[in-house]
Amino acid sequence: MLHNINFELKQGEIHAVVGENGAGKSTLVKIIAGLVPVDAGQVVFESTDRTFANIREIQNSGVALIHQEPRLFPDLTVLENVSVDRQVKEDKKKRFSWSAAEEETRRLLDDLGCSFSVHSPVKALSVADQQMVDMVSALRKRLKLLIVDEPTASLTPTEVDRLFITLRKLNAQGVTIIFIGHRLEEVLEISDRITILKDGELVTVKSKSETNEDELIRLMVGRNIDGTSEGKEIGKGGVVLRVENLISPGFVADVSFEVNRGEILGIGGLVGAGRSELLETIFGLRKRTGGRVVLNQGEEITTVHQAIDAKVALVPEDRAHNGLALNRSINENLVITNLSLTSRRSWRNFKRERVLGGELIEKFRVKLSFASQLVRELSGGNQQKVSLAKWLKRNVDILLIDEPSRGVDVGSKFEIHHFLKDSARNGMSVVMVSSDMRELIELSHRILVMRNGHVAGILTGSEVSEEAVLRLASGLTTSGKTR
Amino acid sequence: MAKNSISGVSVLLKKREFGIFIFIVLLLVIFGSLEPRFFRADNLNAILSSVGILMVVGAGQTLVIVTRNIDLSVGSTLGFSAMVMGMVARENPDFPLVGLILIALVAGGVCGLINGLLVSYGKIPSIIATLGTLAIFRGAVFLVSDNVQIDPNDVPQAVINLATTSPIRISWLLIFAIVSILLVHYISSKTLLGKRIYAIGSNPEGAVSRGLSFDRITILVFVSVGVLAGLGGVLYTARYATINPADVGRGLEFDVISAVVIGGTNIFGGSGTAFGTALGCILIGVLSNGLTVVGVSPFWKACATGLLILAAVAIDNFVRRKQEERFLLEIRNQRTAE
Repeated sequence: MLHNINFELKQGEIHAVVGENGAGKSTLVKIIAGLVPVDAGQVVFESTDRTFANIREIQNSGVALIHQEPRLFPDLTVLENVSVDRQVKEDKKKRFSWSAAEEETRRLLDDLGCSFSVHSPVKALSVADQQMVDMVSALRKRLKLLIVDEPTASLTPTEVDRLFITLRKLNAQGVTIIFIGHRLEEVLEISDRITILKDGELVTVKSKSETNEDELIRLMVGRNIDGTSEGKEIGKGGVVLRVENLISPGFVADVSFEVNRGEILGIGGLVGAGRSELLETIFGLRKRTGGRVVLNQGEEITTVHQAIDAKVALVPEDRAHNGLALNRSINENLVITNLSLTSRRSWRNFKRERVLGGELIEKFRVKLSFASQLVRELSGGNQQKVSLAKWLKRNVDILLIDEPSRGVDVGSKFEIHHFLKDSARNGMSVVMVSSDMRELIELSHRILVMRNGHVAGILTGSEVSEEAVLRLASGLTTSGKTR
Repeated sequence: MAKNSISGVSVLLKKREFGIFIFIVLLLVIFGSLEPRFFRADNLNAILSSVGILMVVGAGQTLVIVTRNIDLSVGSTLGFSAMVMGMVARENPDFPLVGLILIALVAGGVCGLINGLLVSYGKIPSIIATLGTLAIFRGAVFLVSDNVQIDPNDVPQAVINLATTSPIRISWLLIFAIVSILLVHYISSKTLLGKRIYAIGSNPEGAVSRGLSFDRITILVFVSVGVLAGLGGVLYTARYATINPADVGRGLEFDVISAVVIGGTNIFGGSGTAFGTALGCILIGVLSNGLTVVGVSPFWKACATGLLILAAVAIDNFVRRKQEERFLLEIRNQRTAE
């Protein structure tokens, strides 16, 4: 995965690591955290050789890694999750007590600006809140080195601000931080120095003051990406999807909107506003108690089967659980939605499957070792490409896509965006949930902003701006009062 | 902790166990009305004794299942411990009671340790490992005993007294059962160790990345269930006063695992309570005794037991799903209301 990397960390700095997906960022930090063994080379922390130390030793020496996807215990409560790896006697004199732990956890959560109860089971929390719990589990220890692996991927702008304030506060207290990020403006905002990786090799190390976004992108991908998109002509091919007063208790409250042919409708809002649930409800995955989803020919969608038959596709946010069969090959994942194209009657035709798979792999530039490689082994960006590519051949009329570039590198993101814009031009309608403000504004013809399950507003044309979306999403009034 | 948790949680738990409770009451009413003898003191005692043995082993099995494992060998472990203890008692009639109990516990603990090592370091899935030891430990019972049973006059009176004498209105046997359940309840709800046991069942990968000692915890729960099965061997001997190599503890795993699952422990790990298991044991005990007392033929009894177990679990799952949905919804609504 990595070749001959020399990585040096100065005490007290915030050091960002950037690179395309598959560049080896996660592997690098996993080696530092002791989760992945080294074949050759050395890891030295505070002038002691830590190359072969076990996870526990490394954690006890003050190193913590916060994962991309929070790794928590869904059945346990917040407090239990945070406390589970404590020692019974952490200090010589003080024994562990639940009440002290509760007080400490509550204080740490307050510091992060979290309002949920320490006694709620973790499975009842949103991904963003779960990440906060993961963070608190690490903060609890005497921390010297904090590694955060794409912490902002699923956070809303407010939550990112909150996180950065926390990171800076920790940094001021002497904690060294390694920050892995995909959003370069965030990387430039938070870090002191930036290491750029490409294909498992070190490109260079830059200090923040001597670089900018364009240069970073160039160094990462070796090609220029045109961030500002071509002119967006709004598709006016008539309404293809009409959602009327849709209700799914607890998540979606009385939502109505229309989507035109060839239009990309962005859905913005804070994490937990019910955006993913809205897509699921439209697709028939989630139980609804009211409202209708109507297609242009007047047919109604109530079940997943009807949705698929009507050429509606859903690419979910949680690729690992809903979008892909991780333990099957890339080719099988690509073919599974297209079996009707490749099979003769009920028999699979492996040759046709290989051809079709190869075509899709090429089109999306999925980086792989071989087509029968397991999807599990791909990086996040490439997994997302597979999860998108498998719908490509099905002549999808309406694509419901949830966080298309969450945890995806700049290069893949570009290709995914290109695909979405291209498909829309060719008449596909897209309903896209995104927390990435730039993506939302760049891609969408119109933006529907949700708040607490309701439609807070729909922005068109010149109304669209980052600020307008944020205002609607957070319920900000003109006086600037939050929530 | 429970006292300040969201009111929904405690209500949920109460209701969950309430469901099994209602089912037990229903069975009592049906059996009692069909056959008045059912409520006679000696019959109730018989039920309580077999429930007690189930509870001791079930308490341990709960922890094993919480860690995403299962122990199929508990019946053979119980048999092995009882036989070893019985033989020591037969050869040394004056051996002290405490010593005999310790011998049984150690014998059970060794069986559990073997299971634990196979599952943790041997990396054999527990359902296979303990299927193997189910047969091996049973074979060991025949081998050590030479297929000679321990007769009632070889069992010391002190052991039999555990089932018949009552220091505080309930027999020693039941006291052991209740203490086992309370102990497991305490460990699982109040201690860090308990939370780690639930954590490795809830998310094994996460547990590794948090540096929890996966193998040690796995071995520990298997040793615990082994030791408790050893205690079960003592109580079995006290109750039946006979240890037949072929019969002792045979098929116990069926009753114990049924009781744990009926008690609401998730077979896929991560959740479950000792109190739920206790209720599950009572249900199994009442059912098994009641069907015999009302005169259901043994052939039908097996079917009826299976059917009622499935019914209990199905109803319980349904209720639980509904409650969980409502509970999650409640939390979300609280959040959106903020």
